[in-house]
Amino acid sequence: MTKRYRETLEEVAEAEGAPTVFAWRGKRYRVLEVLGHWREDPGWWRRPDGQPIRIEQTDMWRVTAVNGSAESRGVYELVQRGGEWRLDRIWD
Amino acid sequence: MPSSRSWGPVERWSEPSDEAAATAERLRREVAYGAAQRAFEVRSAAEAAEAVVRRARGRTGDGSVPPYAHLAARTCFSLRDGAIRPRELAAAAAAAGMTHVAATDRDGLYGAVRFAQAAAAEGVTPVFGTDLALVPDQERPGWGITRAGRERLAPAKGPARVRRGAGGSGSVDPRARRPGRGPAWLEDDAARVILLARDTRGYGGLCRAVTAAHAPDDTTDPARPGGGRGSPHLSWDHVGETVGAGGAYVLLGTDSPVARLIGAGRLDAAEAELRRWLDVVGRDAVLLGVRNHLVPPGGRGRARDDEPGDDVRIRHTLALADRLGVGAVAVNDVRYLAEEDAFLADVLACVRAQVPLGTRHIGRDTAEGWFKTATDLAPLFRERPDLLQRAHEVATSCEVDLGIGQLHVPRLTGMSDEVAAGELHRRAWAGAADRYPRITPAVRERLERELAMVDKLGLHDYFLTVARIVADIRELGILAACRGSAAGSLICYALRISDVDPVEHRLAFERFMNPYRDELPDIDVDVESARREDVYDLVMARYGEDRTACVAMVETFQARMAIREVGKVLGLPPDEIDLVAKSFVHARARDVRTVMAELPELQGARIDAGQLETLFAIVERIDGFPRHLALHPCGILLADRTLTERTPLERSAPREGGHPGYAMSQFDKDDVAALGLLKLDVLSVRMLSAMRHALDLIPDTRGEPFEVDDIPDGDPATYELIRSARSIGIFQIESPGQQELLGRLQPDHLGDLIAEISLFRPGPVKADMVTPFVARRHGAEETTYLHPTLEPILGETHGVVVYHEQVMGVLCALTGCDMSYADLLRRQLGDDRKAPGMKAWALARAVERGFRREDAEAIWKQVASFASFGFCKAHAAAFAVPTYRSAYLKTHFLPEFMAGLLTHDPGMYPRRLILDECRTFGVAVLPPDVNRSEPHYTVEVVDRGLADHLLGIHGKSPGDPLPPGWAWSDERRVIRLGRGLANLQTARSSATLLDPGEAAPGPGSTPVPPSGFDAGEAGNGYRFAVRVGLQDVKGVTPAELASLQEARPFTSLADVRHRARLSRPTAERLAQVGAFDHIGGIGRRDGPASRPALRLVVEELWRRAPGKGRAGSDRPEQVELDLHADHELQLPEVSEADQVRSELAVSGMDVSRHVVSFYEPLLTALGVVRATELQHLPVQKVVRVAGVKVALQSPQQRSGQRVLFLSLDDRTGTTQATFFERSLGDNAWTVLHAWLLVVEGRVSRRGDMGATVSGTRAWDLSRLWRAWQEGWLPDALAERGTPAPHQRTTTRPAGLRAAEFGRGSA
Repeated sequence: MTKRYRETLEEVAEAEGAPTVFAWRGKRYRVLEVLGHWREDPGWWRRPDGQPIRIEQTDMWRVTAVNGSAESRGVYELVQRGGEWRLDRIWD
Repeated sequence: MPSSRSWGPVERWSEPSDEAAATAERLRREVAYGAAQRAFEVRSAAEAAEAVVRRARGRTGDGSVPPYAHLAARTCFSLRDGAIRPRELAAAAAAAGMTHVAATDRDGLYGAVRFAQAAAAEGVTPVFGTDLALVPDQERPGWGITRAGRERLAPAKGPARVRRGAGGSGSVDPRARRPGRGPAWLEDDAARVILLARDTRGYGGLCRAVTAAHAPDDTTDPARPGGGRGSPHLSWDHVGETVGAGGAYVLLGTDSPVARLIGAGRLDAAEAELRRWLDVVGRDAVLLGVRNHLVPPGGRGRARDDEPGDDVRIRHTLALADRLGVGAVAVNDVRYLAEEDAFLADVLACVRAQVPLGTRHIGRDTAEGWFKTATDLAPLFRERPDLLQRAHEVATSCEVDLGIGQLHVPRLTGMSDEVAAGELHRRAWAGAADRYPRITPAVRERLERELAMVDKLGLHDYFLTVARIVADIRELGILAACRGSAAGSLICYALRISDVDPVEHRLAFERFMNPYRDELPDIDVDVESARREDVYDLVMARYGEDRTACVAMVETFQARMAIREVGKVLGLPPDEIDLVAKSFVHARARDVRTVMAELPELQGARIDAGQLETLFAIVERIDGFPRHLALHPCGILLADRTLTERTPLERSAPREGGHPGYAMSQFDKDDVAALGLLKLDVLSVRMLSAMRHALDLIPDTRGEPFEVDDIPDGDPATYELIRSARSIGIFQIESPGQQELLGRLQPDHLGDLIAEISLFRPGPVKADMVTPFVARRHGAEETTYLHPTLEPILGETHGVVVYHEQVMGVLCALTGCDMSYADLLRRQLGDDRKAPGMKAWALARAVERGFRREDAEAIWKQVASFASFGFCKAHAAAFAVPTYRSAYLKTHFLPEFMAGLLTHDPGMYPRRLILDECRTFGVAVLPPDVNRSEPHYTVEVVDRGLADHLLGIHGKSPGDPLPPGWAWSDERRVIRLGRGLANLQTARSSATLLDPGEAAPGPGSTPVPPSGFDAGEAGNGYRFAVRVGLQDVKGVTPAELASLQEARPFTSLADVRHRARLSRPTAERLAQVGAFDHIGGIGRRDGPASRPALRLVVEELWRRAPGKGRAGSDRPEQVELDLHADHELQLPEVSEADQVRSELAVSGMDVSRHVVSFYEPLLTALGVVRATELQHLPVQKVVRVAGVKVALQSPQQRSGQRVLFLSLDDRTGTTQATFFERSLGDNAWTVLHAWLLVVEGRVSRRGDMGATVSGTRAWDLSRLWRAWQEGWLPDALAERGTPAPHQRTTTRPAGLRAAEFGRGSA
């Protein structure tokens, strides 16, 4: 079952660009496995006029993670955009 | 020369003075541009490398990165696709530690040579590849297309095509050949493969594959569908024939049929497809490309929801590769350098497809197609680092030698070496015997030396072939002239390739053939512009398309074009784009901001600054990217049958008249030179067409044929005309600056013309070599030499170093080296790094040879300083031949020559000035007439009364008033020109010089035209007149002209309506220019009173359907409209001014009266001086001059000052006015924008002739006229500076293209 959140993550540890640990709703989650990593960018031409051209990458990470308790183990979709991390979805 | 220049503020850029100079100017610009471009490329490559290094530094790798090489990368030579310059790619690869890197350009090998050179410079090994689309085949899994693409609109011909390919039967889906499936405005989405050359043989296969993909459908063999022009596609058969032969890899990447099937989940079909490739090209030669662009499932925006993401694709692909034992390599389909440059690829993709930027148009899912290093890629292929390793291994297994730096002299004659050598020697000696009455020792020694050089270089075939081609061209009746350094060769003279005697004019052949240089000699042939394609056809027919091909020219994005194209994809309003784009002509795209800042016109424009910012950010970046391949205007490759293995060929755009276009190499002239392929340059020269036209008219007008070979050398009358500086229309010497120099130099033999042409170059002019030369030539200054040994070398130019040949000669005298080596030294003199070493060597040699050290140093200094200014004398001598010949034609056959100039328009001036030139030489201009005019301009012999009427001469005897500039022959000397051939043959010159007072034949005194030359006399009371052709009537089509010619003569307007197929606008315009005056009965008692009345009649007639019975009866019914009825009564009295105004609007020429003549009263009131009078005024006198602007130039000054050179035509001649920077503030706007001008300034003069005006004030004549009429002339005369926008009214004839009034000005 999928739950959608779109909540900002305060703290994410990375190694080689991939998330390893993240904190969400006060709990620390450890990434066990990266299932998928994709990228997207919205059309740069949609930026307001006069703004410098920039490709804004959005990284999507689908990871298995756990926060210590067994029932928290699940597939989490983390989204990184412009240095900000967000939790988008959880499959459990 | 493009004629559609618009009237913009960009006139400041200097324009070349005439056609040949235009070519020279273009070449000079190309060289200057080339140097700047090279510098730019080196810099951008260094930046690219630097960026790679910087990225690497900011990262902590784990150290265990496998070696890697990119096997799929599109450079900007993918033509509106990749955004990497070849050199940047090579530099980035080197910086990333790659030993090899591939460039796999889309649809061809366009960038191969540059990439090879760049890779050599950057120290990496190039891998050559190409990325080709496959012929769509809906029956074959993976080969189908979902959208047809507009390029493939051509419907399938005949029944459905039947294929009998290696893979079994099937047919090319006819749906693939028509639109309707998917958005047809996008190009088709055919599957693609990448071919990589493993060795030189494989490179040949790639060339053939590209050629096959570009070849049009082979209609004789339906099994071989080609891509067709502009839409190259490779067929399965061609895959087998070209790359199946070995030496190449087939890289099946993400767009390949196999990958497409995997993406569609059809794994079995993918396997079957892969097996077919293995069967045809072999297991070793097939590679599966694996790309990880981090594409999410469903692709960009999850639009294709059933498609797997990259991770799943990779897994399937690797499984398939492992199962069939096929090599898999990591690729990244690189299209731009840095991550943030993805926008460039997007813009280029949309520019290519001509669609606005949009998710579905950019052809990518993620922005990962940048130049990644092994470190960047390693995490993406963490599980399979062997894919990187394997890519590296594949790259290192590729080794191709393009043969750069080697020379390839083809065997074109089919003779063996010995036979060809014998033949050349025989013909050279026979030719020399023919050219010279006696073979002098000088000629013998020279020819022996040249032949020895040819023997050494093995160029016999080449000379025989070029001689053959030139002879063929002449046999077709096409005028041809040899240009360039080849004119320095006696062999060329003996073989009749060139017409300059190199012995007499002391031309050195070492500039042409030099054993120390590793390039082939270049022979350039000028031919008539109107017949150039005939020449191409001739060469192609003789040698076949597998041995000859045209050279391409890479058109790049320049500011204007870039702004338009990028503006379009950004969706900016067309008007705004237009406004911005029009402000740039020659500006390079990367200079746009600078230019924008300087252009006041744009500052008030309401364009969103943000949009402009984005626009410029992009335009700056795509500047200089190739965008299109065009046919080079002159180069033809001459090769043997290996041509198709060495260069990919495509077809140039189809020509007019159903000509399919030419086989064209994908390489441009620099590439071709680097490859050592032999090239013959066939340049089209309009002057030669103009001369041909004149020669064709002569038998009719003079009763006897005349050919160029009949032109005698050293004709005094011709030099008399040249010295008068009335040189408009003469090849090379017609520009205002040349006219001035003619006045100072006063040439009297061909050597002077050669000097004139050489001196009128930016270098000599800037260094002011002209002044000492002229002073010494006229004995005003003593001729001195630094050393007596220089006298024989510099004597011909009075001790001034003018020619390259002299620089070489001086170096020889100084050091005792031979001329070939001297040429090498001369080329390096400008190189600051090499010059000091050379100097030390040369001085040491000179001292050894007995020069005093001070002398040697002084000589060196002189030579070194002039080396860069000098001009190749052989070039100038080659130019001087058509210069002299055209001058001869102008002298002796002026009406015919003018008709030629008017027809082919070779020069820098607008046609209307040529018409005026006719009048200033006493040749009347006849208005166009449907019954008399041809499409082109012709010469008629008319009654003196009519001629006088047309010239505005109403006086009958001395003392009667004459038009401005004219005089009676008892007051002024007249030189009668062109009195017929009888005189010519007996007296060697047809000009009869009459002194003032000497009785002219007939009625005592006759009117003398303003030029002082009378070229209109046809004898027996008749005079020559030029009949205006119909070709320049705006909007008239060749079909309409043909229908007029067929149906002539017409008896009435109604008859024209019936039997000629004229559109109504054309008919109206013909009425406006006066072509119906005669037939419509203007001036007859029962005819319409004026042209506007006639035009109403025409309107009426053409509004009705043409009469019935067109097929039945030739005789039209008498539907004569009442020509004399009410119409003209409703019209106000129509002035001649209106008539001239509409003539200008419709044809750009004031045929019936000179436009300035309408302002005579005002000119008198203002005290305006005529061009003819100016010569007699003292220097520094303040004068006013007036006229029509015919040329405006602003050459770059060494001081950086901006100077405007303005030429005004006032119907007595042209006046030159110069505006220096200090007076530009007051006058620049007026000078730039007005067409009719009054200029005030001081007379200045250099030399005996050529008084000019240093302008201090300029006014718009028509504004002054209005002011005069309305009584505020003093106010108008007080106006200065740039008027406020709402007051910017300048008058120029409606509809007149800028190009028509002052070609030099745009």
